[in-house]
Amino acid sequence: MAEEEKSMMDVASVGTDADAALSEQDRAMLVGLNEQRENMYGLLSRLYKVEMDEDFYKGLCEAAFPTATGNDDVDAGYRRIALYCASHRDDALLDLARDYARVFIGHGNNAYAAAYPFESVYTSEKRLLMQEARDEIVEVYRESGFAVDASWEDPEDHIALELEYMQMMARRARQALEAGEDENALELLDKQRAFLLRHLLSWTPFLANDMERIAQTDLYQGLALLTRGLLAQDREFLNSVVVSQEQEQELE
Amino acid sequence: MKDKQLESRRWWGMGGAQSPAFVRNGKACLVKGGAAGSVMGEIVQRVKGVLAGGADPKDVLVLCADPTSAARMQAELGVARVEGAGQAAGAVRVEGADGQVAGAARAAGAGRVEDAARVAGPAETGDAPEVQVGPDVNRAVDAGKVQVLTCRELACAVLTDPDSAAATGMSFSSGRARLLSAYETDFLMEDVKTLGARPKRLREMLKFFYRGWTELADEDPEWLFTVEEIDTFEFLTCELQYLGAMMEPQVSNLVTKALRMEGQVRERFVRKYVFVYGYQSLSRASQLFCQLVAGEELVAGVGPDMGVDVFESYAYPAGVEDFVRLNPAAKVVEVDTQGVAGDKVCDARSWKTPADEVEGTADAIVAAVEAGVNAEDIAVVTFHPWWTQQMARALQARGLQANAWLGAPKLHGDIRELDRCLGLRTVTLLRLLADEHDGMAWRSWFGFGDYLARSNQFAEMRRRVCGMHIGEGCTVAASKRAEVSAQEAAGACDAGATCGDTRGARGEGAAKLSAHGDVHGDLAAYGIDLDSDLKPLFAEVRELRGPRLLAYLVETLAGPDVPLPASVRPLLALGPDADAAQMVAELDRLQFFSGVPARAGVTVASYTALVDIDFDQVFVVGFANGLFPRADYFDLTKVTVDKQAKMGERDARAARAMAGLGTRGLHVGSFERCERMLADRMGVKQVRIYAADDFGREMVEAAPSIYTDVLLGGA
Repeated sequence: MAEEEKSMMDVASVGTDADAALSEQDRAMLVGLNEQRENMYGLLSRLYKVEMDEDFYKGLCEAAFPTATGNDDVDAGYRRIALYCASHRDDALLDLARDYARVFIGHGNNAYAAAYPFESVYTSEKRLLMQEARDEIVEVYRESGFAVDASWEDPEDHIALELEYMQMMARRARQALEAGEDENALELLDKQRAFLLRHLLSWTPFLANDMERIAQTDLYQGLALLTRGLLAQDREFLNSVVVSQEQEQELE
Repeated sequence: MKDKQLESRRWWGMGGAQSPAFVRNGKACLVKGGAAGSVMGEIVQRVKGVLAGGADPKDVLVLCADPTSAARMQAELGVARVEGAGQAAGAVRVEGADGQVAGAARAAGAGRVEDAARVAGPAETGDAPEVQVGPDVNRAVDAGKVQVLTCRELACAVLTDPDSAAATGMSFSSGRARLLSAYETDFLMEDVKTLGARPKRLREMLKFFYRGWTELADEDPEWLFTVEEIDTFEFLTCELQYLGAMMEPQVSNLVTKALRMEGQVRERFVRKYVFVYGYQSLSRASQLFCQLVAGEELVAGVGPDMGVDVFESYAYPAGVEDFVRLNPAAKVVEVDTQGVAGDKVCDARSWKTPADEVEGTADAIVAAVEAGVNAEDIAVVTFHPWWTQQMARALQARGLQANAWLGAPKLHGDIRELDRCLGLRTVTLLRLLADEHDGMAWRSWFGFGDYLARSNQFAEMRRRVCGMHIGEGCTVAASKRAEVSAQEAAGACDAGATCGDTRGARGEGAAKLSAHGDVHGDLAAYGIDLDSDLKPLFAEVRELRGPRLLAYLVETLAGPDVPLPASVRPLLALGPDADAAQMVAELDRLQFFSGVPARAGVTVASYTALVDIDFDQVFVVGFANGLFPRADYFDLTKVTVDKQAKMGERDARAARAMAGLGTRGLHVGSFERCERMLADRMGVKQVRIYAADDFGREMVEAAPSIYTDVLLGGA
């Protein structure tokens, strides 16, 4: 994904801590995994951010999706997306745009009419925008040195931005690993884990349920499954890499 | 006692109302204390002292603000009998209004209420004696023993006196005071709506009237300003007289009127020594009522921060100051609470989930009992029935008895839908069986199943048969006075002019209706035949009793195999021989006179039931936002800022009252998170919702009550 498409800018420099604690083999593996994570979050973020355009749809349909990842939701999600691409509909873009609007924008004033892609909606009692979750998110972005692009007009707790945050943090972690700053990389992964648990995983299961209820295309049905499965997989990965003493207690 | 002790004085009503009241010249004492327990203990000691001094027990009356404290007081005074053994003149025999003897032996140094149950035992009483305040107040009032009653019970007894009926214009066909149930109020309100007031305005006016009743503001002829207010109030009072029933806030108002009228009423009910517990939780009119029934000596026990609406509407804590004004010779005694308060332990603990809190609190109670605290001196304060049920279950699972009380049973149903008010219709039939002249019951029976409760037909019937459309009094009077049209008069009144001399017109309307007083006959005269269905039914069930009677009524109303509605199920406890009158009396007792019974075990009940009662150790569970204060407080889409401020004041008062609970310990618990479904059910303020798993099981984060510090500051 091109940098100019980003809604979030990395305005902080990567840490310079050079304490090495990983073997070369582990480091190389982590670099590879973080690259995959970066791509995975980038893909999800793009799918949520705006409607499908021709180039992206073409790229998506040309991609080879894995079939046995070990996670049923991920497998089913890829399968549904591939199924939609295989339908070779002439009006696919219009069809997807219509479904995007149905799923994420909705109509009417019923708070349950659409899968509103904002954390505040799902974590507040009255399903309102701009609640405490959004304030927390803004604080997290600031602490991590990210700024939301001025062209972005929706609240900062939009799922696309939260996924993009994870993408950028994964990139930072990869860069830190490549620079041999293992401690810094682990710290970054720790932050990602905390963000995943506190924010993304606290509400995306609800969002995915609503998407499955409302979406009428295989692609967005698949996106719901993929989101649920990939985030669960990433939680497992992060838990296996960084489990501090404090987090162990939290897990209990 | 023609009052040398009392002299005419002004009673300060709302809006500067000035009506005759009294200054007592007899002995008076105000017992003030921060911890309720020491106040109750002081009252008990003083009762004992009076009896030890040779007073006749029948001259001693103990009034309590609510049934729970009455039951507790009865148990405490039951202890006094044993402690005073050997003093021939000082024997206290405490009796509940239903004539049940509450007193029982207590070993020195042992617990209080539990021993009343344990020591008396089945051999003496047949079962653990359950101290209850019953509805048959006349018998208790006539009994020559120390009487412990709630103010409402005594007021109802006074109002059934024939002279009272003459004084107040309110007579009861059954011979017992008739209070309106919630569903009967719905019928009344449908009738009031025929006046045309907008619902919001009507709600405002009604609250104003209710408060006006409890503060005797209606004794000021100028207390109502607009035609709308005057007409509505006139309608309400006339209709209640016509139906022969009272609303709860009206009771204290009417009884003070009865006692201040010329006649023998006050002489019959005044007692030489009157002790009042929870004076600050009484309404202003009830406080005056206590003054009026007190002869030589009046002792009022108050906790300055405890004035909350626990049993009576519109508690009047400021009456503590009025007490001194009305009793210039009053002694004020501050109960020394230092020793108690100094030892009091206050703590707060946050648990992960409600289930953790229930289990943890039950463990802590078991530990307290093992450390020597009597189970009966421990209370668990809850804010939702779920907590009451769960705590009772957890205690029982640990081998501790729980005296759990879920509050007075309510009569539920929708009067507009016949299928949804089976319980209410059954209750109404029972009322008609018990008293065929029960006007309110006839009104209800006539209105069931109609969206407007047939209020238009009822109003038309009243107008034609009784010859008076109540609600026109002010307009008629004003137009006569100013010789202008009724419409202009109404306009003048609305513009702020008072209607002045309208009492005559109102009184005329009320008198006409009261003279009628036969709703059933009037309906028949209007051409509405309610007898063709009911008379054969009444003939068939006349000999039936208990469950068979209930089952027959339900089957007649709803067909075979329909289970008994929840509203009447408590009546099964009366046994197989209970007739309709006994069932109605029991229903009234449960609705209007019941509180937490003084039974063995750890008491588990809502804070409103326990707020004036003393326990050594009190555990407040589920003290989270949404449970206290209620979730509406935080939701400005539901309440206005002004209303929120009022709610805040009321809650703060209740919190200060709760801070006085527990003479030795107050333990406050809250929880961090719970299932969303449970949170919705309990009304917990949901700080944040989150998914507990990948499939969207909803959990919520909760926050400790904003009043936690107030409770902890109570030590």
